[in-house]
Amino acid sequence: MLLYAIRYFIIAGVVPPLFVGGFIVAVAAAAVRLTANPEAAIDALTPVLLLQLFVAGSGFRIVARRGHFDLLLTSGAPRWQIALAHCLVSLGPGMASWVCIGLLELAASHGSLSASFAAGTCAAFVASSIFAWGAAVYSSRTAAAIGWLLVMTIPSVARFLSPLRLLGVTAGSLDTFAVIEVLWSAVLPLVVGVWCIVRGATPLEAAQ
Amino acid sequence: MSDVLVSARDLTARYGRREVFHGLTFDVCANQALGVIGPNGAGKTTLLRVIAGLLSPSEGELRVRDMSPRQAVSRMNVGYFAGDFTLPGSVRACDWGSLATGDAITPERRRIRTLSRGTRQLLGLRTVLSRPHLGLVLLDEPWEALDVDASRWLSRTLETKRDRGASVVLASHDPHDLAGVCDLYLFLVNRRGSLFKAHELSTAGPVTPAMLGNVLERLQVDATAPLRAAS
Repeated sequence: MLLYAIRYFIIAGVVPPLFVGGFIVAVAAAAVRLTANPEAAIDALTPVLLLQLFVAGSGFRIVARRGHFDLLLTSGAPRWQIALAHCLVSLGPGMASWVCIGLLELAASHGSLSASFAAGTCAAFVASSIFAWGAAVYSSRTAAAIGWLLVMTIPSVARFLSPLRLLGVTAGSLDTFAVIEVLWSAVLPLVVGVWCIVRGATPLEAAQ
Repeated sequence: MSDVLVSARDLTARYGRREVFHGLTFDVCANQALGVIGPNGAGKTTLLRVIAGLLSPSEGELRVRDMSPRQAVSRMNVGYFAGDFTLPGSVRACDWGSLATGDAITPERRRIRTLSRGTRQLLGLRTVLSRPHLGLVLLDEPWEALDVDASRWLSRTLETKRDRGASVVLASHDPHDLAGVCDLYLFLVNRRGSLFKAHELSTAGPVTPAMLGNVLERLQVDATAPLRAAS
């Protein structure tokens, strides 16, 4: 049923083609840049991470309240699998782009550089993607995007919350507080998001 | 009583403080069709979503094959469709049609938003009803926007599903849709439910739209009687 749920969300367009196109353009631009300068991985990853923050917050509940997921929700698929599938499909394109850029960096530097897979980069991608997904389960993509814009553009907030500051940071440079912050920001929204999908009601917008 | 598939006792639904319906009690057996009739906003859609396990009742109990609706949905095949507006417009019709069984039910490659309303409705119905071995069919205003051929197909399909042991629950505001199709009729008026068996409404021949219309009108008049008396 997990595969069915994944297929359903892909067909239902949880990640619109426009965003997938955005990732393709970002990876293509990264390929050009890394070919010329293999040390530019962090610069190449920045647009992918920014795009991922908006794409991963695909929003479950508002779309479900329009009835778009009725067929899946009444298919007998366990709700936790539906939540997992929605998370995987929402995060998939961004994660795939990140891995592609990491492989391009390794290839361009003949295996000597891997800032794309440094502990900080992994934490930034995984934690912020899951955070973005979980935070948007109860809201819309637009509301989540406004939240991210505020986080990224208010310097005093960005200094503490922007995942961009973690890109390229190695495990030895990460302080304990940053690790706890990253874990907390990933696990809590994930649990809340899954809980909302598993336990939450799905009234129809038009019937309320 | 073992063939009772859907059993509601004192069912109440609320959105926040607003009560949608109150104290609904009914049973639907296998091979039976229940028609839910009521004006717009009476709670027909809400009732169907409660039976489908998408909403929890605020009070009372609803059992589907002696399980909670959510459990039942995971153990039996349920077909639920709330109308063409619930289909995502950006999806291709052929892709959507393949979601129930994996097999294409239509070669149409246009996006759903570009289809006519009746075609969208038919696509949604065909997708849901193509699920094999349906034990429970829940359709909200299913005849809405369908042409004559599609309406005939729907009526025939529902009859077949019912004859094969499924329980069918149909909601509509229009008595013409449900007349002669159902074994039971639940009228939702002013947050209350009134249940009639088909033979109680018509002792000779099938139930006609006029009969359903008369009952609906009488219940609506009864519901407003205290207000009229006060004024």
